[in-house]
Amino acid sequence: MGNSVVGAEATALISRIHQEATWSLGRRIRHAFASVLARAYPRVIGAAREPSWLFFDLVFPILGMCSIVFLLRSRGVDEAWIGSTILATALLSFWISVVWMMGAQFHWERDSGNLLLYITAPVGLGAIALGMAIGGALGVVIRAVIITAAGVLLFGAKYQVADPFLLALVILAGVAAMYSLGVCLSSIFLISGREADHLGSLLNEPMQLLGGVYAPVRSMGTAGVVALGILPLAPAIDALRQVAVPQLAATGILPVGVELLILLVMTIVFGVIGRVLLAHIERVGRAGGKLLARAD
Amino acid sequence: MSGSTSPAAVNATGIGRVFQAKGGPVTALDGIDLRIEPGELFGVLGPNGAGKSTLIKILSTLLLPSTGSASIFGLDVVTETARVRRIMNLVVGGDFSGYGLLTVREQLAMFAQFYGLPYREGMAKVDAQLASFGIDDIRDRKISALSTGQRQKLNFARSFLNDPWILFLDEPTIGLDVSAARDVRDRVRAFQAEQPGRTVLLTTHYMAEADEMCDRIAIVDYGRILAQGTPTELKRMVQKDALFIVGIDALPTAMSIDALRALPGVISVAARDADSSDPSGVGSPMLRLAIGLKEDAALGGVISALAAGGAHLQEISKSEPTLEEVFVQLVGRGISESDEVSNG
Repeated sequence: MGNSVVGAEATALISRIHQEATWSLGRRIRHAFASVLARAYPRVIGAAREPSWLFFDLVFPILGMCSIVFLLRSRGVDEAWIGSTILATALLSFWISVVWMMGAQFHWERDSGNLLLYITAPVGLGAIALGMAIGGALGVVIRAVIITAAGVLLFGAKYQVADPFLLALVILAGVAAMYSLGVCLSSIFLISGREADHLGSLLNEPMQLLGGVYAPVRSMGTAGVVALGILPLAPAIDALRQVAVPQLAATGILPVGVELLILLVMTIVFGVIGRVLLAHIERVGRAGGKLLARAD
Repeated sequence: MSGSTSPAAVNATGIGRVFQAKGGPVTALDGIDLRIEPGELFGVLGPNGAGKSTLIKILSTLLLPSTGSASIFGLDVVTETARVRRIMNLVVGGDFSGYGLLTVREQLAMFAQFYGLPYREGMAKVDAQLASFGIDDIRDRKISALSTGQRQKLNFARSFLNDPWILFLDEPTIGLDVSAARDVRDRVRAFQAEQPGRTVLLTTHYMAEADEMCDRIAIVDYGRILAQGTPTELKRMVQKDALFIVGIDALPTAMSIDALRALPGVISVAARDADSSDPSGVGSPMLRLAIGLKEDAALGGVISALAAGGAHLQEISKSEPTLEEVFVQLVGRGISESDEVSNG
């Protein structure tokens, strides 16, 4: 039978294979770290490879921002709100990335055949999702900076940042919480199957409203308070407005420190839920047979 | 084979799998018992819907069995999935995985990390596989710009990165042209030859591919193994006796077919087609006799009798059944008919 190995030789071979299949904790950690970076790479390199993507990802948000700014100006609103709108639009680009490039990603990966390869590789879905998140966030940074710069140049928005470190912390915490939620969404989208596109739409416009992109969550009453507790965009934009546009500090619903704490808790809670959901979809997928691989 | 105490590469016992469908439960696998030795290239042959892919999905940890148990080199595919995944790899035919924006080399580098290779070692493996599959010239080409054949070579190169001890190939040459399919088959054989013990489980519905490549084959249909053995053993199942085709100019007038049948060791004689031995059709006609013998040695007596009667011998060949004939006998229909049935 060809090259078959039997008897004592087979016993020795299997002992060797068992050793190779057993990885130390250190190796598993190094592997997870390397896998995160490896999965982040396509996200980071993607924008540079396809400049047209950058164009479309910028044109529409900037157009949306312009429409709100023109509306505000036509109503004679304080110019401080212009600066606030520009920052909110920049932060919104992270949220759109979370919905479509995190939430819908595993759904797309399943249809393209990638998910099958991820599952059968010795890499956890958690590392893949974290790589998607880090790569996605890094990819959007350029977009967010350009949107902010375009807003400043077009509308002469002015900011007074007394504490740049706090500003960076607010942005970082907001982005971390959003992408942590994105890990949960990736599982939910995958389970929702054909409804994934509708789910994505649901998470766009309504969430922008509840997130305080157009108006401070304080003005939304109970809905604003609820949004603050479940939607990372809401405390992130509210805190950003207070830190970068001090004239509007009074519109903040909670002190920046508390909102930072909320974002931290969201990052942890969504991260844990996301990890549980990823394990769940693998379990359900292996049991049901349809979730992880496209239909033959 | 099933009674062997030697450790197996694949050991499956009573594997069953039932899918819940809208019309009710569908049994994809029904009590599969399978043992594959380390180093074997084992083929699972069957029509679409026979359960081949379901079996591979279970063994490659992608799917849980409804009943039974299976292990890969002694590692349970249900409870030791992480360890199984470190020693295996998988190629699925018609696979369009990957990220279109990445280059061929970047794609392989990414998977080298997923497979746990240290960076330098991984990149060395990537370059070695690019050269090995003859795709080094497209290393910087984007995935989105690859042809089907190039993509499948890339998939194979990916699957070899972690030097898997077991390689699952699910219809790997589907959609490939003859040349690309041959290249891939050659590489699989070379891959096995490099390291004793490397095992390959191949599913296919290409008879010639299974016959050419596999040490042993299991023929499956409706989730059951109908027969398994080496290609030669399977063929013997449909033809236990030796069958020779003997071409002569004409049957001697003093000799009848019945007289040939009466010769020692002869089981059957049948006149086949009478045609021209000359491709132009101008030459003398030839009569082909299909002669079934108890053993090869009986052929001498037949040839002597024909020569003594004045017949001129023009051709002798031993006829062997094809896997297609084995399949038809076991399944009751040809594989193409089976596919039509499966596809509705």
